Amino acid sequence: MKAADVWSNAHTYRLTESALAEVARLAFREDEDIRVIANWVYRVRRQLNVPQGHMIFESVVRRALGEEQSLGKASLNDIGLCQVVAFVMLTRALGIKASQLDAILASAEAAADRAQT
Amino acid sequence: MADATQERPKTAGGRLVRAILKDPRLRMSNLREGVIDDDIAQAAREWDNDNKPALEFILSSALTLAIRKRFPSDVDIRQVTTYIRELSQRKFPGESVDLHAAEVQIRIALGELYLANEVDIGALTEVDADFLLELIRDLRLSESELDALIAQAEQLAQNATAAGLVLLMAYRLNTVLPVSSASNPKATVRSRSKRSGSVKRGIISSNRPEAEWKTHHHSCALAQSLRAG
Repeated sequence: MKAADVWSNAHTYRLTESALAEVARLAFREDEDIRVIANWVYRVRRQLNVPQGHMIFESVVRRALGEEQSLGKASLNDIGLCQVVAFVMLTRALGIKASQLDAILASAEAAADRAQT
Repeated sequence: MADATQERPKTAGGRLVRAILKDPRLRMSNLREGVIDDDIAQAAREWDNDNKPALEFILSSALTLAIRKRFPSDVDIRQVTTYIRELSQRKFPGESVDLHAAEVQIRIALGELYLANEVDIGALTEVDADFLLELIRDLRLSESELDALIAQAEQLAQNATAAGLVLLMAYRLNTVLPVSSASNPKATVRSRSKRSGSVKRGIISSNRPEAEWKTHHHSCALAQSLRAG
């Protein structure tokens, strides 16, 4: 299966979107200064050695916090990957334990199911 | 009290920038196709005869100044995002403006220099450049305020400090405005008379590809230095 096919599956896409929204709300306030989010994105990019793509990455996090966001000319694949990376990095930063992670993913899955129907 | 003469554009490049900004209908495609008003054609000829190809730097500096005039440096970025979305819908309905690119330009001008790496100038379109012009026009400056802004931009461009912070305009203008007879068969530029609406022909540019390339490379060098920073 190609990477792009993964994200064209609406349920998978929504699952990652919902999972990110769950942890983003734990990590940032809804009205968080965008520069704080940008600073976190910048540090993650440096850590992962990703020289570009700041705006897509930042936008998926802002969108997860409920802001209306253009995703520019980003591909579904780029958006999906950014969602997963942001989810993983936020989960690590928050020190979320396995049991909490199960609950977050179950909640995200339920949200994706609701969106599907 | 400042000397009034210091508040006016001093260079041919500055006067051309003023002419471009004063024409609310002007789009990049007009420059490319050479369908421009007399004022702009005249200013372009004067600029072309000038030996200082700093037009892009003046324009990018003017844009930086205009952005700083509109937004305080500690503005909530959400306001920037909302503003560019609304401006895009108001001025370019149905057109595909790259809102991320526009936001990046504004945030770089407001001090987030690390975003310079996000500017993929090769991927930007004429409508993206038009949008940046609109950012300045949307300030609705009076004649004297526009003169003062451009005079200040000229000084910044001369120092090459603020120049290059906003790279898109530099790139687009290098591409479309200086119509070199060596590289473009449409070296003759049509000029649209304001009063009569008739089309006449005039030479906007000549043989300055070397100077243009030097300027372009200067822009790229600035981009590199920003990236390194």
